[in-house]
Amino acid sequence: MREPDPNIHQPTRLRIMMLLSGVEEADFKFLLSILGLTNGNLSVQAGKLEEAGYVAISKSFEGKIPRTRYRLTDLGRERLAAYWQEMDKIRATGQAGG
Amino acid sequence: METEIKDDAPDAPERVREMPKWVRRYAHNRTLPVLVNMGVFLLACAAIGGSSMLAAREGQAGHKAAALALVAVSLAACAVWLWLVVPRHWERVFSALYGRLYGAEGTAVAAAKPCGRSRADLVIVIAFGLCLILQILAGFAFETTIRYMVPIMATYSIPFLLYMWARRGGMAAPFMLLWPGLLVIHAVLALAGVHPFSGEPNAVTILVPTAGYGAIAALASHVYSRVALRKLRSLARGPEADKTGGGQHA
Repeated sequence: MREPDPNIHQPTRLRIMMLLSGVEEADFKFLLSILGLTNGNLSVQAGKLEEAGYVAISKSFEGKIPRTRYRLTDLGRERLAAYWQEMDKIRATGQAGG
Repeated sequence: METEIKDDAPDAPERVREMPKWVRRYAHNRTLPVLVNMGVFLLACAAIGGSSMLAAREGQAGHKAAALALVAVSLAACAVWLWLVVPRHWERVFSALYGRLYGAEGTAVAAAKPCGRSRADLVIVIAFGLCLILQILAGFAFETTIRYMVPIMATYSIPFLLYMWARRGGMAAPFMLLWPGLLVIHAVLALAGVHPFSGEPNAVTILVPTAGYGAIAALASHVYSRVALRKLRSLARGPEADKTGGGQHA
C-alpha cells in the first residue's frame, strides 16, 4: 500500500487544499480568516503547495492594496482525490484488521 | 490569535471532507450587494417619480421656478439611473460593494466568471424594460391591469429573473430562486382572487412583489452565508471556533 502524499498529509496543507477544492479561487485574507493561522504560517504552507504544483498563486494590486489569490491546479485536484482514496483504503484495512 | 490545527479527533477526516461543500455554499450566498444595489435603484426610481409628480403639481400651481428645479432634480436622478444600468458601471459598483461589505472576510469565488455579455442579453434586458413600461402605461388606461398587476408582471419577470440567474452560471446563488418562486405564489393567489397585501394600489402593493421578494431572497441568501461561514470555521479549526465565532482577523 502506498504512503499518503506527504505534501497533502499535513493538517494545515490539507485544509488549504480542501478549501480551495470547493471554489474557483480564494484570497489570502479569506484563508487566513477561516483557518486562523498567522500570515507567516499560511504563506509557508501555501508556498509548499505551490512548489509541489498543487496550488497556483497569483499576486496583484487593487489600487495600492496587494492581493494574493490561490487556486487549486488540475494536478492538485487529481492528487487530492487520490489522497482521499488512499486514506479510505488505509482506514478500510485498519478496520478489517481489527 | 492563531488556532492550532489538530487532527487527532476521531471525526477529523469527516469534518475536513465537508469543507468544500460549505465553502461553496458560503461563496454562493454572499448576496448583500444585491440588496444594496436594489436599494440604490429604487431610490433613483423614487427620486425620478417623486420629483416628476411634484414638478407637475408645482407647474399647475403656477410656481415656475420650483417646477423647473424639480424637473432638474428628476433629470439628475434619470442620469444616475442611466449611468447605473450600463453593465460596465453596474459591475464596478458591484465589485466596490463586495469589497465594502465582505472585505473583512476576504474573497472566495465560487466559479469562473461566465463568458462576456452576448447580444441576447441586451435584447432580453431591453424587452424586459419595454414590458415594464407597457405595463405601467396600461395601468393608467385600464383598472384591470392594476388589479392583476402581479400575474401580468409574473409572465415576463419570471423568465427574465430565471434567465439572469442562469447567466451567472456557477456563481448563481440558489436562494435567489426564491424571488421568482414567491412571485409565482403571489400571482397564483391573485388569480384565485386572493390579493396579498391588498388594498388600493400604492407603494406597498407595488413594491412588495417587485423589489420586496428580491430583497427577501437576497437577505435569506446572506443569512445562509453567515451559517456557512460559521460552519466552515468550525470545520477548519474544531468545534471551539463554532462557539467563539472564530476570532476573525482584521
